[in-house]
Amino acid sequence: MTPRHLLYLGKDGLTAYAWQPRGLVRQGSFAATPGGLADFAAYLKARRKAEIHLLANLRDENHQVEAIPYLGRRDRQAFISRKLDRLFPGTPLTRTLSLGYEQGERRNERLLLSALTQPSDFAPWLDCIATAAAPLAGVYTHSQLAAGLLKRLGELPQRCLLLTRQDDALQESFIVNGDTWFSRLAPLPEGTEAAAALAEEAVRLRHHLVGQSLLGHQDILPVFVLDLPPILDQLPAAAPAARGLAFIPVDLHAAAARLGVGPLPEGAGSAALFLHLLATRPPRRQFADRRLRRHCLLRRFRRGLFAAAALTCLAALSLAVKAFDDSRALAAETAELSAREQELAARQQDISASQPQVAGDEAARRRVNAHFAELERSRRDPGEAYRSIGRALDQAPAIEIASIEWKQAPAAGSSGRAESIAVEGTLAAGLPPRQAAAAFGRFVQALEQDPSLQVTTRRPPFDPWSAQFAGDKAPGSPPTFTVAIVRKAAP
Amino acid sequence: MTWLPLLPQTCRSIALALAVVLPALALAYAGHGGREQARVDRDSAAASYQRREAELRQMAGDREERDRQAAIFRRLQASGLVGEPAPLEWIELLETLRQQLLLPALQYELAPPAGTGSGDFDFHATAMRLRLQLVHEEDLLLFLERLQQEAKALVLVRSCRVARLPADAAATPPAHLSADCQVDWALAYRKAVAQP
Repeated sequence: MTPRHLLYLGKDGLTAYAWQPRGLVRQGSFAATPGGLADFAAYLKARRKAEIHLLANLRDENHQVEAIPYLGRRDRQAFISRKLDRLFPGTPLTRTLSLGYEQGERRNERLLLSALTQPSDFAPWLDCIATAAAPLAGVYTHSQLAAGLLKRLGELPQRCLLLTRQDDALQESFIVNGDTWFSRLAPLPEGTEAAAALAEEAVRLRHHLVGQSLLGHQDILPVFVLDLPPILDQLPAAAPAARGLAFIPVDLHAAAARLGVGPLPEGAGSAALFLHLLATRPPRRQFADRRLRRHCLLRRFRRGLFAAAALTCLAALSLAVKAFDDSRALAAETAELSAREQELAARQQDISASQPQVAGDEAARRRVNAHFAELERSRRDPGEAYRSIGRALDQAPAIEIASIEWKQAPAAGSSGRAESIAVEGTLAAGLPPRQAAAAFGRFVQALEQDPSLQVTTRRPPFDPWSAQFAGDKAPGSPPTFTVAIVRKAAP
Repeated sequence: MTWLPLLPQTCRSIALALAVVLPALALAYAGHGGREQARVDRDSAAASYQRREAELRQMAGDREERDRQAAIFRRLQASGLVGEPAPLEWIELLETLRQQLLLPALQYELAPPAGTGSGDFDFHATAMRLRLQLVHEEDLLLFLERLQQEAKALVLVRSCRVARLPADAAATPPAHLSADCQVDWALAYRKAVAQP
């Protein structure tokens, strides 16, 4: 954990504490004198690595609630700066808290503007810090931490008052919706009973708040009093009843125990609780500007930079290790592939050596094989044609075949071969023309039933337009016919 | 101006961070480069191996094809389709078939062989005209079938004309049909190598 050093600035000077998980450890007190400042400078020089949080408990703290129009970011910043300069001139220690936007058309933004109006009280200490180049994380006030304290103790109404005693002064914080809208550090007069002083201040403050319209006349204001039991025991008697105040005592030691503060350092009082809160949950907004916090900002930048560098380094080294590992695996794979390729090359060489290449002889054999294969493919014989004609004759017994001329011929329009068959025949003698024609028709029809045959009648036996039969003109001779058949075999 | 004195420290921090990060990034980059190169080498070796494997498969395929072609050629040689024309053997076969099939008559005419070819082998086709007398057309088909099976050549029937014969009671055996066929006897034979 980052070492934390807490500086408590009161009216009597500055007290330094170191925060540790087991509790606060007081490390020194410094007066606002040249000697005290020199001691403080030496103190800072020895602790330059730790971030410093400065908690101020001085009277000059002012708060103002303002409404500004809805503006863009840059314009808003400039507007707020001008307003702060106007409200709190001459102090760089200011704080701005947005209270949200009003409902309605204009959407004005409500701001809580706070400032430490006596920068001269801080100047010597801040100069020492700047000279020592110590990392100042922020400047905070009691009132800033008041709401956080009550919230941690489990008690935070919408509006309330917190009273704490410190350094013979009474710190009063008026809290609205978790933010301190008004605070005051009132001196406790000497000889006054503490409880009575607390009660009187509470009444006075209620009047002031009613006058400022921050509280209604009839409102009951809860008043949390953080103090030691002897004071708290006197409170009921000292606090007047039915004056719009409801006093709620909060035991300092019990609260410290509840917050986990540990043993209270001597003389710290309620400041120890605020310092513990500051160490464990510092508010986001505080009073020091970037110029005052420059060393801390630089330190955080360097820490972030080194953290990013370390992460980047780690990632890069992881990637490098992975890449080298992958390279090694790939190299092993490459070696294995090369070895296997060499084995294949050796086998290839063995095969080549065992088979003497006689390329020319081999090519010639392939040509011979191809030649005879082509002859076989195109070879035909008349057997199937004869059988087709025989089957047709079975259906036309009156037909007598005189000759069959079979030839092998190239088929038109295809790469195959066809057979051309010329059939010459006669019809039985003495057959009446009608029967003869029918017999010839049956014969041709029977041939055409074979899908592989294309039948053309060249010369029919009977010409119906002639008084005589075709064929021989000699009367009484049997009619003859010629049929041409083309047979295509399947490829 | 209050920030200016912080500049050297800031620059030192940035320089230190870079001094740590840059070598690590360089190492990562070198590793990446090395891995890419190793990947390229591996891919190249894999491609080379696959090429070699494909060549070996091709060699095995070629060998199988060579063996198949050689087997076909040997069958052709055994069948007599590769070799010198042997017309005397053909004539003897014709006579044998005529006797076995009891063909009434068989006449033949051989034409001079016609050749084509290039390379180591010539392809010859000897045309033959066959004139047969048959009892039945099946005799012709049987004759042609036996001729194609037993001839030491590839016998190709080009044309056949079968015609009915006038009845002749005196012929022994009686012939009812005549067949006039053109066949080719196809052969391939190796050219003689010219002597130096």
